[in-house]
Amino acid sequence: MKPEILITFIVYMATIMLIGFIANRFNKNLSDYVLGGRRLGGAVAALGAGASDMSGWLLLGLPGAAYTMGVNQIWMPIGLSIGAFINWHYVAKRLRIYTKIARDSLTIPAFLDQRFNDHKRVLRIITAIVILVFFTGYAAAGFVSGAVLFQSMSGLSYEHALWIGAAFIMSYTCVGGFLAVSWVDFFQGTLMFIALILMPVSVIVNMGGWDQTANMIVNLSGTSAHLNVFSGMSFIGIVSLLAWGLGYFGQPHILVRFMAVKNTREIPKAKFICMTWMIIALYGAIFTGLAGYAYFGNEALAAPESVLLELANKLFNPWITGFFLAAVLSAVMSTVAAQLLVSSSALVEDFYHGFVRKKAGQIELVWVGRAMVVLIALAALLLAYQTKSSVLDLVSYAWAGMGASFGPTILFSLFWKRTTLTAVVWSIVVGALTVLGWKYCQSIDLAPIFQLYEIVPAFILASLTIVLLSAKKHKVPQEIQSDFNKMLEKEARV
Amino acid sequence: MIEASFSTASLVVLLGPMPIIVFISLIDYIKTQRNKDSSL
Repeated sequence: MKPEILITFIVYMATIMLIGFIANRFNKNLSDYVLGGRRLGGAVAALGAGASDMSGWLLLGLPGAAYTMGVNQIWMPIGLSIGAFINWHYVAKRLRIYTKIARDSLTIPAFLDQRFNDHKRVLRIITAIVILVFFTGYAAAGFVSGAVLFQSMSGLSYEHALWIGAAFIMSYTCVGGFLAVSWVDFFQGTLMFIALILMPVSVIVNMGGWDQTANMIVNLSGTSAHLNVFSGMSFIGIVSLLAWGLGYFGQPHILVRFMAVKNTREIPKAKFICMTWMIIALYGAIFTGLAGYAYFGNEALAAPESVLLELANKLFNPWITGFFLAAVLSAVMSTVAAQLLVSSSALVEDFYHGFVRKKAGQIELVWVGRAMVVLIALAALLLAYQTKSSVLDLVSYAWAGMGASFGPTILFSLFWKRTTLTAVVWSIVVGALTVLGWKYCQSIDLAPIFQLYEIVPAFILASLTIVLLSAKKHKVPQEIQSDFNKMLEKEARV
Repeated sequence: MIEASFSTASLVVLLGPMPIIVFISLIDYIKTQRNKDSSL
């Protein structure tokens, strides 16, 4: 690694650690540690939701896909933008209000427990276990991609890169909790945003303007397929890519940002900032891939996913290249940190505080939360050591699994008073099983319809399960009615 | 040299939905700000 890149990188790491330590001064109780004391400003909540949502896909996967296949990769960004917008527009405000009314619930499992008055705590246990399993796997996948990237840039061994990356993420998450993760996400989201504007603009200017870049793309491929959004796309393919947006309603690491906003008046501002950030960044990623395709020409990249970093190496001095490397690692780290924290909060609030030590003091809970971050990070590290592990394969469709099983549960619990506990428990089971079954049918090529992304049938079936099981005549318990009505009244007032 | 450009259909897909989302979010934000100002 060149010394300039190394210095930039050390400054970046030092800044993040400093943010972690400053955030730690605000951690007085568990609410501070897992939800930032519900005092996030609009901009921090917005970039936190955006950065933790996108992961390495935004700076590695999407530019790589646009480099290889062209502008037809826009369909997934469109689906994600619509999903994120609906989530901010309809879910954010209600969830913020309702979680506060539902005994100030700090986690999604705790909210569902209160929302459905679940005395047996079945729902809380199921949701907490699903979050733990998937997010530990997800964090492991993040560790792997971060380590592979760090290894290729630094020349360190995979194991060393893995340990350094994991220790770094673990330390600021563990020390500073939710506030540290949110502030760091804001910082990292800003880096990602600058990188995704700077890179395509620089390459296109370097090529002599957009006309020259586009001409080069057409000349290279021999057709204008790279610039056609319908090229190589079937109807099922387009629907599948758009359907990624359905996953948003069931992602706890994104939903907690809504719960942590300091008041509901911040939500329209946060929505505007997040959507602007997200959409410009997505365009930037697509145009980085396209411009990279034109720039490298016949000298095809062996690893298209590294197109942004390869361009940085070619076009910029090592100081700026270090900045781009930091931006890519930011994308990976912000997601992993958010997932570690959500998993830790499930363990400390939903198991430890919920079952083991109901009367535990706040300081004790914060320390147990820290210990859980370390424990989950170590479990994810163990998984990351076995990169061929089936657990990592499993998380490749965790977005669909969580989106289809939790998504309808969250939406119906917020918007339909008559939704019952039994219905949501079955809906989670039906959503998860449909994803698994559909994926299996896809793998054995059973019929062309199984090419459809599994979230579509799973989301529909899970929603139908709730509607059918809740529709029969029953009396909504008084406590649930009262909380629901309070939420509606408060929503109407703000 | 082939004259390269996006087709109309591609342009509609590329520049349609995503900027509209930003625009709606902006309008919503401005409306909230106005309501806040008028309630003060």
